[in-house]
Amino acid sequence: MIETRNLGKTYHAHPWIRSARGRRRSSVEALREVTLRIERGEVFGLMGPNGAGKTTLLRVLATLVPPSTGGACICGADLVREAATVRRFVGLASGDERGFYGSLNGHENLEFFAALLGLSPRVARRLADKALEAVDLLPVAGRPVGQYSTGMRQRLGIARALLGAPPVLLLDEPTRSLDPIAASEVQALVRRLAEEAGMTVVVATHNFHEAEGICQRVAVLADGAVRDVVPVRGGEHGLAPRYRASLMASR
Amino acid sequence: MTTVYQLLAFLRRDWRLARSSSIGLAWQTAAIICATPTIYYLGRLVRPGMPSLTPYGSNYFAFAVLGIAASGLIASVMGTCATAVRQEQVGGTLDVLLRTPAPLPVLAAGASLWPMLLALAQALLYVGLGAVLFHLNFAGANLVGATVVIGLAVVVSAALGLVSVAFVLLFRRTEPFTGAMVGVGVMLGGVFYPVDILPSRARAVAQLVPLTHALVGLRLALLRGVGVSGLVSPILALLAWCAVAVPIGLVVVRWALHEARRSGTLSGFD
Repeated sequence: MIETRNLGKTYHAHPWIRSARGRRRSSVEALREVTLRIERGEVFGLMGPNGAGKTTLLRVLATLVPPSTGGACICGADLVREAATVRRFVGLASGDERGFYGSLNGHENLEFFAALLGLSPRVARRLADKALEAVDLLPVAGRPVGQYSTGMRQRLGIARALLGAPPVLLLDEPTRSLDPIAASEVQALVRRLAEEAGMTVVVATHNFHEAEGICQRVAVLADGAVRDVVPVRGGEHGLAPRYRASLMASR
Repeated sequence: MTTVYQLLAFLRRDWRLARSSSIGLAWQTAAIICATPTIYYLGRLVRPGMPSLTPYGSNYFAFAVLGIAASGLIASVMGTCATAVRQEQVGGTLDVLLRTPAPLPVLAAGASLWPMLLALAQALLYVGLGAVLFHLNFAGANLVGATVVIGLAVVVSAALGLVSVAFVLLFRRTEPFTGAMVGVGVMLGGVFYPVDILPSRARAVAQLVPLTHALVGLRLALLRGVGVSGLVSPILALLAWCAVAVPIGLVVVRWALHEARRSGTLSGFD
């Protein structure tokens, strides 16, 4: 379903642009030789300290950032050569509070993004309704997004990622800044999507409890490299000791 | 149909956004309604029969209204895509749009469609008010000639606007080019006065400004009824600009997008 081979990413600005921006740092190696295989219907976690490369990996998989080395396939489509096809297979929801038109309501926002999939207005409206229903936002669909709480925006982001029913869902800290009840609702939604709809979900998180609650396996990233891939369910001592050991070993 | 649905989605979105802040639209309309009589009464100060106005029918009001309306339209076309990209960047929606399956040209056209239609409506409002309130007469206008000239001018402006888009993508700042180009256009392009009254060196430089040729062609077509065959000179000048600006604009914006993706600066703002 998702297969990465020696995937690497170095952020490197053109020297002209760098000097015009007044930046000195020439390059940042964000990912190093990441090789992973994630199966269909699996909920796969990405954990690691800040700057470990979790968000970059998700952005590379969503075709927003091209890899510098190596490659990846999603549902058989090559990430670089078939980027347009990959975009149809992947939905990305980030924990970013922005990303919506605040003066439009939730339904209008989703209808717009659904129409960009190339769907007629009628089908786009139906898809928007369906996605809003999946994240329990239908009752507030007519309210401007500017009036939504953080949790509602997070769920709206997931709803947008679900438009077009992509087989792969990428979630970047989906419960960041959510209260415990809202967070558990999002976690339940992710479980449901994987179990009932057979979606493959990749979740970047800092939360052990969340990873243990929804993931089957977790990759521990540090300095852009995968240090360990830990099976979550069935482990004797929980995720935290293994995570710490992986990070210690990487130092 | 896919492209049509995508473009319609942009139109619907922008209509809804404009509706939610209709005060801005009302102000722009009020400004045009106030500006038109101002130009008319200023025009009465200009002595009729000035030789430099003779090729355009000797009516300064008609000359100036067309100059302002067309230059406003061209300036809007030039800046609209860069403004839209900047707004999407600041709003955090740029990378959301870029990860949809919609092709890049459709995204650019879609984001520019509503502001361009609005600019066209504003240009028509200028001309319409002139016709209704101050008896501007377009009875003998050659609409085909005018459409060809304004169409080419729009293509040139949109292509030059792509350089502004590239700047926004690379530097994540409001672009400075449109303002500079509009300033040069107003000074040398013959918006308020014919280029003929400029000193000889400035006249020579004015020939390098696309707006000069667009305004000459538009005024001849609308005020003197000159057809396409009589507009060869401005049309050829605009075609030459198209041949240069379109490939450069496309190459620059594609490079900028690639560079922004590569360096990881596509989204966000600073």
